[in-house]
Amino acid sequence: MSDKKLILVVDDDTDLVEMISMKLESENFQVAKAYDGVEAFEKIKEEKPALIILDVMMPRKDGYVLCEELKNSDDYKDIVVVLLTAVSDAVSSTNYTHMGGKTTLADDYVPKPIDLDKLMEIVKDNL
Amino acid sequence: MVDTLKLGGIKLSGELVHIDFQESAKSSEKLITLLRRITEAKITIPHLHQVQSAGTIYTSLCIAAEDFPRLAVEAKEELQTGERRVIPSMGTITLFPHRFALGLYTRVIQALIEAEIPFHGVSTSISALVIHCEYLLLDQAVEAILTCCELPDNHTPLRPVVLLGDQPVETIAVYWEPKIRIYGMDVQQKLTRISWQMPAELYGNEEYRKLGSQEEKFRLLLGQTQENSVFHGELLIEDRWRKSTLRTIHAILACDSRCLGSFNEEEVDLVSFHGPHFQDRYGIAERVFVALQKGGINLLSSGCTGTSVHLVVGKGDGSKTAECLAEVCTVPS
Repeated sequence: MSDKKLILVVDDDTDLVEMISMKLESENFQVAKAYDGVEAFEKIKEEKPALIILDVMMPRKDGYVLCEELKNSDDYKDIVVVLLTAVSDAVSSTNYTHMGGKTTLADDYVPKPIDLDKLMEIVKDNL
Repeated sequence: MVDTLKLGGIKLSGELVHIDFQESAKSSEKLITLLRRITEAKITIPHLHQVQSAGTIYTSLCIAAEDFPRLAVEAKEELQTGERRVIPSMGTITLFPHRFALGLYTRVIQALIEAEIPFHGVSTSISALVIHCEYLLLDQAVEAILTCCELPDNHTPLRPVVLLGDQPVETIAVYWEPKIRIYGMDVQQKLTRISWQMPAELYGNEEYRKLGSQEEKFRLLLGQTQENSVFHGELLIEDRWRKSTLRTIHAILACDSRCLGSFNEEEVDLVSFHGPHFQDRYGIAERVFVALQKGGINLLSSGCTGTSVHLVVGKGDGSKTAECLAEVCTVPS
């Protein structure tokens, strides 16, 4: 069995999932991918990742709802959740802002556009 | 039994309108005028790609069908000249990840041809292969694609209607930013650009099936089927795949005398960038193309798909292009 830690990357932006995954693999992590909140939850049940990099604004189930479900669950509350917040705080018509992300139970928050090196630091600090 | 290719997922677009036009490769006036109108109407562009052959650049861009009436008002003059071809009720199928496998493209197009589903264009982003076809044929196209590709057990093709339980998820208003926030800019040099034209029907032939069979990888793939059913294709590849890819493309073109002289090969640079939620930010394409025009950059072709932008420029022009774009883009620290 691999001793590499498993990180689940969840975002409906497939390009970003690929970029983050390549970076994580180069840092010797094992990577699983999901493209919406429902698919992510299935992967979490199957694979029990050590950490989840989670986008907030996604189809079917958004990152806020998934984060809340995980943190309120005895089975999954210990999985580290790093939330990717996306929309500029200048946009008043949305809850998906960095400030909005900070009101959740996530363990850490990274605003988009992310700096991949910074994200790697956050991942390592939280494991 | 034929092996299926493993995909991470499939996304389907909503209904789109395509706007196609051509102009001299030395000018980008028609493109910039139309982009300006699209920005004025606060409309986002999910896909824009350009291919070039024989001194002519062929542009194909699409917008959401629901946005088209607004553009028709803003760009009444431009759209009525007859120089632009408006194709209603189009859609896209996004397959991911493509892992840069040329074989995936070949197999998917083959599956569509066998199912008699015409495709209007193809383009790639960092992770995804995007096929453009009629909106009403999207489900049939997915069915055809799944004869050669396999989805993960818990994945169904993602559709544009987003639901949170029974409630629609909040969608945000499109917005504009003074500088385009991006993750960074990448310049790749010493790539070979292969461009060719052929009757679209040649996609079914035996030689075509060999494209990508030796696990060749691409860096960028673009294609458009014109009104006369001629397909304009472009591939950017690294040197190690050059010989085998060229051999196959020459063999495909040799099958039909109409392909004579329709091939070109040159060394190019590729400038790419990627940003968060580009699909919700209007005015990006206009600022990029205006910056390139002001900088005197000779753009050979381009592919703006999903959240990535790829610009193909002449050999050695990559760094200058990145400098021009630094005027309009920012990498937040």
